[in-house]
Amino acid sequence: METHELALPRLMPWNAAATAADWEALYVAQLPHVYNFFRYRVGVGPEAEDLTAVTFEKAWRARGRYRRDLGAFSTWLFTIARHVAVDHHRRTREHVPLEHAAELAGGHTPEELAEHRSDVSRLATLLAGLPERERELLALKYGAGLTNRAIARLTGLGESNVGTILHRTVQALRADW
Amino acid sequence: MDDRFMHELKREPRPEFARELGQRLASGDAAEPVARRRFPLRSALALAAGLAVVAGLTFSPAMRVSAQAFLDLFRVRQFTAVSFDGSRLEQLHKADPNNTMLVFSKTEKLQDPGPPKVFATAAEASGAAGFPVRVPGVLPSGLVADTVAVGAAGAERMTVDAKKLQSLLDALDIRDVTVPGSIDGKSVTIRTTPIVFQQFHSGNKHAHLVQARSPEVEVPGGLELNRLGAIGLRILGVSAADARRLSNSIDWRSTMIVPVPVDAGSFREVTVHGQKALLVTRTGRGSEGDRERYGAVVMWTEGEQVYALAGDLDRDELMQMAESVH
Repeated sequence: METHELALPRLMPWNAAATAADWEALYVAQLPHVYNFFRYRVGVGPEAEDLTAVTFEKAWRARGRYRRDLGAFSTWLFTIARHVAVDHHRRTREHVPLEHAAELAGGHTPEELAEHRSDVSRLATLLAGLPERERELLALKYGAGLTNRAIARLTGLGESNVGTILHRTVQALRADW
Repeated sequence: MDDRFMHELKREPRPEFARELGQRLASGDAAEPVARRRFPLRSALALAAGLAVVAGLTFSPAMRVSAQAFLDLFRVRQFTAVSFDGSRLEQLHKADPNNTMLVFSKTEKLQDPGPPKVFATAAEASGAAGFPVRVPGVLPSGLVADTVAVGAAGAERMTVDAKKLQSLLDALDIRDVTVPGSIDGKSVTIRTTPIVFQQFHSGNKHAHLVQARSPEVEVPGGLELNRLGAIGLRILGVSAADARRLSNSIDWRSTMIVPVPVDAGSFREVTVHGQKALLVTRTGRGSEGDRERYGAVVMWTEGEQVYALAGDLDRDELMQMAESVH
């Protein structure tokens, strides 16, 4: 992105429009991933939306510092998201009551709805009991939808180590499921 | 491993939430001034743009008589690159993090272009832009066309603050030029026309082609263009002798200054479709091994249109792509 910034000064606001289009497309593409990262990372309550908004607002303010040559946009964005999650954890340091009501598409029976709510609750409860590192890795994998390689780049862990931790943690959750 | 249960928590964000957040980000986008960049070129350009406007406040009394006796128009017709010491930008950032307020006391948005609209094809974008969108016939390195966005016309008025500009000169210990008091309080109006932005990509490679009619800068008459141009060049760190020489040789009414840090880029004059063009190449090494990273931009004008093609391409590929624009 810096290369074409070489020649797009303020008198040529093409950069503003072009950049805005870029960022709009990135927002649309990344919003579900960031939102679900927080659903896995902090819970399914309103905090997930709040922290998603904080992440994008921080990213938008800092977008001038994003350097395409240093890595993919998602890596940069989730670096911000991770910091937002850490800040949130430091501020709260207590379990937030889990939201049980989930919005579901119509057509489900009351029994199916109850079962689904229960599954969301159960998984959320299990995640809340995990150590921070394991929970974050699961959030990046299943919430954000990142590959093990991308997770390794973000966290500084080896890719193989990421895979091992994820596998072990999911196995443990499955046993408790 | 059966991990289907691990997906139970996933949901689509609420549409209302997504829409409100998107609108909040976009409205912050429209109002935000050019942001500071770690790479000095971006900051240099924001600064140079402001300075170019300041320089554009002057015109020679010998210039053509306009129906609007106290206004003259500045339109981009050519580009000139100027080497400068990139560390000067760090000094400026320390002095004022918000580069755009270095010379202006206020800015007033006269016409808000709003967020750009994205189209699937160049043909569709042509309708919104009001002119035929030209596309490259050659896409090197496996590039494929991606999005096409059109930004609407806009207008902004800025009021010059001579005291601020003089304070900046003092902070940079520049004593050989002074700010003429006659520019204080003068208004400069920039009118931008619709601009088209085409994006291309191939894996990690990206390229952008920007096309627009030249923006117009309305400036009041009676000021010394080359004197203010010299001030701008000195602020960029150009030596006093070079600033004097350049400011007297440049046609400030039609030239866009493109500052290039000596340690991060190089430039040369080229031609595109037989027209003079400026090619700026970023030099240096990237973060992956010893591979030298390419990055270049070529700028040119044809008729009333101005073009900029930039990308993670080498010079030959970029020029080939530029020549193929039709």
